[in-house]
Amino acid sequence: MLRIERVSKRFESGTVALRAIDLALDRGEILGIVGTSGSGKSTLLRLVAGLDRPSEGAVLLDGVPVTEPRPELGLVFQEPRLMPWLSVRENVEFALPDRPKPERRARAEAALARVGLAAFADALPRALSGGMAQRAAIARALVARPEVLLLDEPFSALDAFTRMALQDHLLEIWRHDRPTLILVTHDIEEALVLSDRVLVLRARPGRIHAEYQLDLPRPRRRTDPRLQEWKERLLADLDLALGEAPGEPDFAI
Amino acid sequence: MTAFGRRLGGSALGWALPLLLLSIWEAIAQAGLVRANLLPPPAAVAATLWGLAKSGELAEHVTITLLRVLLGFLLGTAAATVLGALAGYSGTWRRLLDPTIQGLRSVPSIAWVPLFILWLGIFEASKITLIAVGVFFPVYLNLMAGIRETDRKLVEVARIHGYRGLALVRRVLLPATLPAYVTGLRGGLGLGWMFVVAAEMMGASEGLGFLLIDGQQTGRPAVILTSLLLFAVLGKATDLVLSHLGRRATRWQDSYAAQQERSADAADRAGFQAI
Repeated sequence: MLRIERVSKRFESGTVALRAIDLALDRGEILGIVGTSGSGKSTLLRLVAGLDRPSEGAVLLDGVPVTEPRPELGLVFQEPRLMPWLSVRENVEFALPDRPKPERRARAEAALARVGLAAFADALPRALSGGMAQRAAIARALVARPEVLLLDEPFSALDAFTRMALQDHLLEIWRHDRPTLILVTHDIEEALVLSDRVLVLRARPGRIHAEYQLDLPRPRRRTDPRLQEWKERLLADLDLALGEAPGEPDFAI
Repeated sequence: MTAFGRRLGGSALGWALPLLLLSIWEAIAQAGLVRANLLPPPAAVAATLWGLAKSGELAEHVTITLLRVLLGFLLGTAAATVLGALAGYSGTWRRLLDPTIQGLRSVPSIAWVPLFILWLGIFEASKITLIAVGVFFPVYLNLMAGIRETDRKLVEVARIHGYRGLALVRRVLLPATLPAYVTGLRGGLGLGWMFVVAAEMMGASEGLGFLLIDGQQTGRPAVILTSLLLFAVLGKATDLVLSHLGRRATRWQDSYAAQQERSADAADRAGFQAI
């Protein structure tokens, strides 16, 4: 349903952030993208979301090129990015601009209940902890029921416990609505717990280094030895990706 | 302490300095250190104030001055809001408008007076225009800067959810800009008061600025002091109205000052519950 066809992104500075990325996703698939910094993970997500346009190639959603944000595409940023002047519920309603008020309110409340924030609907964002704010942001991204949900390191600013709880929560939502998920992360374990398929990106220029279909059964346990094996394989990949990157040597002679 | 009690306590502290100055003034007058025809005692100023109030002149002067400030403020704010919003929102409009406006800003506003009088006559139109020019710049500058400094990240969230153009302005840029806008309005109002004096000193037959000149030409310092006092009170009162409205509109802000106010309110509630 989602195809990325020979997509390249060159910034005005001349930096090539992505080169010739080819990718296809099935409906309901969970794709994890890992890579070192500078490998263009976030850039790729912004192109898919329609926030930026590729220099070459195209992103196609059900055959239609994505040139600007579309309601079928949701995005969760690394930070909550809540509007500080709106209450938590109004922030979630913000994602439903064209619906009548009663429907907006009912759906926002349902979405907040699902992330366990029903009691905070009337609070202002400044009253929320980091984890709660990110949950509100996830509720906002989900309330419009996007077919594709893009997540840009959504849990990276959270403590380990909150992160695990939100990962489980994301899987619950996925079991319920079956959206297509693309998860950019620098946490290999997170990618392995969540994804059907993992993409390893390599930096300078950003390109696909490896792609793995994960044969791990669900629900997955973080302590599963097979998951640990995958972790080592991906770590080795990332080391390789780092080691082969051209540029300055790591030490001076 | 209740909120009311604290507010009273807070303003009591604010009154301390004026009262001290007043008693020093009274003491100087009593001791005869300065001649009364240069610095009349507070009682003489109070008597002048009372006399003006009784004859109805005071209400007349205050009304016309307030009206001029209000009209100039509305006019200047309206123009600044439209142009500031355009220049803040669109780079093309900014490149078109901003150099000219910044150039005009470097003309000291009083320097417009001869031209305004020539064009608009010596009556209300030229005065109100001058006040509007004074109000315009702080409002324009703050609004434009406020829009330009709106968090790109919040704008991206709005774009993701399909907001464009006017909806984007109304739902994101406007609320995000409100604190800067209020700052601009307060600065503009302050300048409005400054310019009403200039306008009224240059040719008017009524208004507080006229009262100043009248007091000077007829050698009545008590009238001058009365007028100054009224400017202080009216300027402060109108600013209080704006800052109160501004605080209500920007209550969501997570700033240090807002935090202080909230914790004081929370302390009130806690104290209230303890009782």
